[in-house]
Order: sequence, then C-alpha cells, then structure tokens
Amino acid sequence: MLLLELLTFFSINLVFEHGLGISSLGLVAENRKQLYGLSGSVLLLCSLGSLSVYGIRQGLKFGAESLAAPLLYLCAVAIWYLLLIGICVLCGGSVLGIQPKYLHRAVCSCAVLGCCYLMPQSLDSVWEALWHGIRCGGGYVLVAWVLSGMGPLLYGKTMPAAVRGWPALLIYLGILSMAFACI
Amino acid sequence: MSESNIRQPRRISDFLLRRNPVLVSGLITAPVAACTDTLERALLLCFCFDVITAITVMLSWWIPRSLPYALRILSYSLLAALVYLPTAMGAVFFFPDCSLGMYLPLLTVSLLLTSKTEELFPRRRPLYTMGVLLCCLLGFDGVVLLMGCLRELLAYGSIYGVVIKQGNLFGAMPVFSEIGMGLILLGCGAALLRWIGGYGRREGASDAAA
Repeated sequence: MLLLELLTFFSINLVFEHGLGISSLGLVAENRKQLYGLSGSVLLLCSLGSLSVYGIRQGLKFGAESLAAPLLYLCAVAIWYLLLIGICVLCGGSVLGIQPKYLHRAVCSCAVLGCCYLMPQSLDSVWEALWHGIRCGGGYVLVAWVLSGMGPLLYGKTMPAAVRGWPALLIYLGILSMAFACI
Repeated sequence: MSESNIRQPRRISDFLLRRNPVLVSGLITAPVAACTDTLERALLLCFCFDVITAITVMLSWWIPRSLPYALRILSYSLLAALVYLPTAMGAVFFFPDCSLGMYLPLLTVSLLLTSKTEELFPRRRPLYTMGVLLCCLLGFDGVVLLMGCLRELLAYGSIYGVVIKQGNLFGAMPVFSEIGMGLILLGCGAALLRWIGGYGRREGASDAAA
C-alpha cells in the first residue's frame, strides 16, 4: 500500500506529469544543500496557495479558465510570499531552513502557480484543497530528493562535457517522466 | 541586484545561441516541453511569449529599483499578468482551434521575466536592451518552432496539420508528443549546441542557478 502511494506520488506529480519547476530543480541537483530550503519553500507555498485558490474560487465563483485567474492567483501567492519573508526576517533570517532566498526562487518557479492551476474544480472542502497542495508540493520534494542524490553524477567529471549539467538533467528527467507515465 | 553589478556579455547576438534562454540558460522549460507537440501550438506559444515578454520588459522600466527585491519581482509578475489578459484574447482570436492550457498563464512567472529581468534588460541602455530582448525572443522562437516541426513530424507525420508522409519514421512515434520526450529533446538539443559550438560549458546547470 505504501509502495503504491509512493508510486502514485512519483507518477502523478508536478514535475513528471506536467514538467513544472524544472529550472529550480537544477539548483538542487547542482547543490544538495539547497534541498531542504527550496523544496520546503515550494511545499509551503503550494499548500498555502492551494488554500487561497480554494477560497478565491468559492468566494468569487469562477474557474481556472477565467482570464482574471492569473492575476488573482498571483496576488494570493504573493501575499503568502511576503508574509513568509516577513516571518523569516522577524525570526532572524531562517525558519526551519527556509530562507528568503529560497522563497524568492520558489515563487519564481512554475511549480507553485502550476499547483494552483491544477487544482480540480470539484473540491468539496478546504481539507481537500490543502491535501492537493501537499500532494503537489510533496511530489516536488520527492523529485528534488532523487535529483539531489543524482546531482554528483549528472554534474560530475565522468559525464561527457557536452551533456554535463543542464542537458543531462533534462534527459534524466525526461526518461523518468516517460517511465512513470507508463506506470 | 544593482545595475552596476550586472555582468554584461560581449555581444548581443550571444543570446541567440551562446546564451539561448531555452537550451543554455534554462529559463523557460515547462511550456516548451509541453506545448511544442505540434507546430500550431508552437506558433501560439511563440506569439504569446513574445507579446507578454516584450511588453512586460518595457513596462518594467517604470518599476523603481529602490523597491525591495521581493516587491520588484512580484511587480514584474503582476505586470505580466496584466499583459496576459489582452494576450489571451489575442490568442483565441488568432488561433481559435488551439490552446496552451495552463501553460499560457504560467508564462507570467517565467524566470526571464522575474529573476533575470534586471540582469538581462538594464534600462539605462535602452538600445542594448532592445537588442538583447530581440535576440532572446528570436532564440526562443527558433528553438520552439524547430521542436514543434520535429515533434509533429515524428509523432503525427504532418507539419501544421498537413500530412507529409506516414511510414516507418514519420508519424510512427506518437510518444514524441509526450512531455517526457519534449524534455529529452530539449536536453539533446542543449548537448548538441554545446558539442557543436562549445557554448555554455562554463554556465553549468543554467543561468537559473545564478
């Protein structure tokens, strides 16, 4: 059951299914120290963003296809982003490894806003919205964890110079995406 | 980041290949991997990206640099979200049978518009900035259109909906329309660009890592 759930997290997630957040994952693959801060920031912003989007959809009665959706979703994420930065600054620059620089990178990543757009229209409760955010963010964290382990190989001297780094990362993620799509 | 600290490349034309925003810098990945399965969608992506990026970059010159960094990058995204409204209407008008789905609004948070705007497009040198912007857009369009042609030909055996040939190679591999294959093709393109020109070896992962 646990294995099935893990496979679901891998196969239905932001990165492998929709190709979101790959630029920011390059940071984690290149430098493992960024894993907790960056993936934690994405997880937090995905969860809070999903809650906000649920509130916006319930309050204003419109869907993701609305033209005003990007502006409203962005405003919602922006408010959380500024609040979290404020908390980090008040707490001396870091809360549980999350620092403003990671929040900057997370909010510039397609993963957070993509999570908001991927939220199904038919959610019944705020808990379902929160679970959607945790699921999206959790998928990102899992992929980031895998990449942090593979980083030394993808960016190492053993990799041919033309493929080393960014091209290797794209090819590796593409192969994993195809593999999990088959599952 | 202050404008005085900005690292300038030698030539504007570097942004076509040497610092291509897709293949070398890795600033826009998801929409390219997902929306270049046919040439029509690739054209729509080019149209939307060019309009949103060009107008947002020009409008961003009026954002005061004295604002904190967090507020500045939010301002760029919010400007892009405002530009998105007429762009989305234009996309429906010019390409009524085609859609980018959620990837169209996601163009408003591309790294080119948020974290890299001030580095790539300094407002104190308008002519230089316009040149860089033009080369960035041309570099992006070239990669996207090439990917669109190749993937549609291999996946469906057609180009812009016109069937060219169905056989052992063309149209025989629908897997080329998948996002995963888009990522693999992007990676192969990036590696090929490096192998041919020796470009980007010093850049490491991407400009996004900077």
